[in-house]
Amino acid sequence: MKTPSLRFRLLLLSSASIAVALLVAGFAIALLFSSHIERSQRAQLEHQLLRLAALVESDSAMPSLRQAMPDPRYESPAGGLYWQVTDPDTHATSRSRSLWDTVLPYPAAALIDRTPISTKLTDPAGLPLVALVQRLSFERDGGVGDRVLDLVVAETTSGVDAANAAFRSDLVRALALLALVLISAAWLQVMLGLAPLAVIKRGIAAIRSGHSHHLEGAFPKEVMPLVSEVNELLDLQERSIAFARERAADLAHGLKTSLTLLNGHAYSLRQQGSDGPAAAIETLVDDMTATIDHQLRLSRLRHRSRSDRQSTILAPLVDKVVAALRLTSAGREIQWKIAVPAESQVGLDTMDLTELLGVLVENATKWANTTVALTTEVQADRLLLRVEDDGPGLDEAQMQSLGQRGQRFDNAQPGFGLGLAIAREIVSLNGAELQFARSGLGGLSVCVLLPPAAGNRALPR
Amino acid sequence: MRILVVEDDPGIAGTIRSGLERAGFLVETESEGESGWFRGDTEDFDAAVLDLGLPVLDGLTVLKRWRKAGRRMPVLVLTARGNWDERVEGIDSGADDYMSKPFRVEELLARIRALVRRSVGHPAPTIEIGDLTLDTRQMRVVRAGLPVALTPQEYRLVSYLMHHQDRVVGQLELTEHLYLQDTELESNAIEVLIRRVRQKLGTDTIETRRGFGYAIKGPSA
Repeated sequence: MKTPSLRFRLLLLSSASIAVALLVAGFAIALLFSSHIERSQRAQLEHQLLRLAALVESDSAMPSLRQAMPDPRYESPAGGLYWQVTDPDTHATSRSRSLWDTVLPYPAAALIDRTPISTKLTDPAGLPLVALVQRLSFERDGGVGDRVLDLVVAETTSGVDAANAAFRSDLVRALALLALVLISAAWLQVMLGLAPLAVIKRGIAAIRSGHSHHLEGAFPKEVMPLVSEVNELLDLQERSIAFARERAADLAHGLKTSLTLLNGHAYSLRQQGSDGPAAAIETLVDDMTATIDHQLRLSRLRHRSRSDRQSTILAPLVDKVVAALRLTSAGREIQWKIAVPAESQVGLDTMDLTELLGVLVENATKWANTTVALTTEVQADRLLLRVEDDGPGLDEAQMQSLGQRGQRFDNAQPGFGLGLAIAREIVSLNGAELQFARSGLGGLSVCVLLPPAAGNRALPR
Repeated sequence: MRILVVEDDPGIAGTIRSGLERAGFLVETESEGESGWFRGDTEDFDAAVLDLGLPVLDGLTVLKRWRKAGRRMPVLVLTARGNWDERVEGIDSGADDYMSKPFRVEELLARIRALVRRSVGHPAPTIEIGDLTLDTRQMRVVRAGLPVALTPQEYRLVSYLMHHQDRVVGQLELTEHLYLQDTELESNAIEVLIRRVRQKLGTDTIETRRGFGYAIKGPSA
């Protein structure tokens, strides 16, 4: 199962926390606001009830007001603000003009003392009302007992509802904006927090591609132990490889010393007339040497980082390799045709280039009848080196299978298998390319497309 | 013909020594670079076999020092590694030939013979002076088509003089190239040897230049 990214998980977690926190806060704020304006409406109604009580004319059979209530909404039908005065004994009721012909059915049974009670009613238009009802006793003129009257003031809830709705709408917008700011901040925090990991990732990619040997740069102290560990691991790996190479070289040295002694014994046997056993020993020594050389030379090659890749001038190395081959009996007989521009540079380490040239030119010398040619050609920003001979060459099928490891085509000559394996390895470790073709001279043409010299305009035009 | 072998492995040094001795060479061996360098620098050798992986002073340094000091003897370099950069570096430092271990003794001998011959201007394996022929591969001397039976020491004398055709070679040089360093010699050893060879090859073969030395000269000289 694929594990979601750390950034995704952190962002998801912080976004969810922010959303929950803001939802809870939103509900709480809306509730507080709603209860605040309800309290404020009740306070208004209490004030209206007090004023109504002050204006009631309690002596007449039909209760009336000594003067109109001051708010004009009492005067317009369904105006939103209402009053009603009822004699609970006679059911004589007077009411504001805003009630038109509607009587507010207040819960008279609930009025057990003088405390005002709050209740919900509906107005003439059928809209919900919040009402305040109070039973009061008025002293009759002349001291003939009290008159009891039920006073009702009511107001539509539409104002409160509208205020609540408007507030909620504003609140949602504000909270959405806040959520956006908080999530952005969380995203920024996650990005900043994870930034060193991205730097490490780029650093590792650079190490992988050979641009660098270590994780480089300044890292926060929380990440530094990881960086140090990685660098130590890389060093350890490098040291292990160097150690293994040294051991391989020591092993090869020891084996070759013994093999040289074996060849000495073979020589002594031949001097004593035992040609058969001498030849058998020499064949075995040759096979073992080929195996050791193959592994030893391959073990010395390594992946070169771009910074390792020096720019090497091709021509002097070609001269040196040819000079070394001219000393051999095969090389002395060869007619050398060399056309390599003196200033051509390639992006290959000197050691690798020497080895590559050595195996290719030695092979050409081995197969050539009379001539070996070394020429170059500029292809885009790269240099193509062509090593040709006038030997028997290879047919198409053989050239194709030359791409396969350890292939050899003639047992009469020491095979190209080892040389080719080394050449192929150097080519692949250094980003070069190897191609085989039929040479104009009649034999094999091996072409190497060499990497360009680093930061250098090396190719002659 | 005197060959210096600088090789740290006693087994390999012994193999080279016995091969070269069978081929008629005088062999001096050294097992480390410093003493090898000193011998090559202060004594005359007809060629040297130099291992590159030597203790004390490595072979390449020895070779560079010899060449810097003007020592021109042919040097065959031996190495345990088969890689090209070492081979190129060896040749670049002044080596005349290169062999990687394990080598075949026959091939080493052939290369040493060729190096010695080429160093004195004889590319072919046989040297002919008048009716006298020296076959370096067979270690044989033929006079007028008939083989002449020579002892190893007599062969070395003829071989040295024929390699240095037309040059007058002094007694001291002959002693150096025909006898090992610590050999006890009678004061007239070279004269006795010359006399024996003249008896076998004819009195006119080796010319004596009083006070200078001996030479084998071609018909035109």
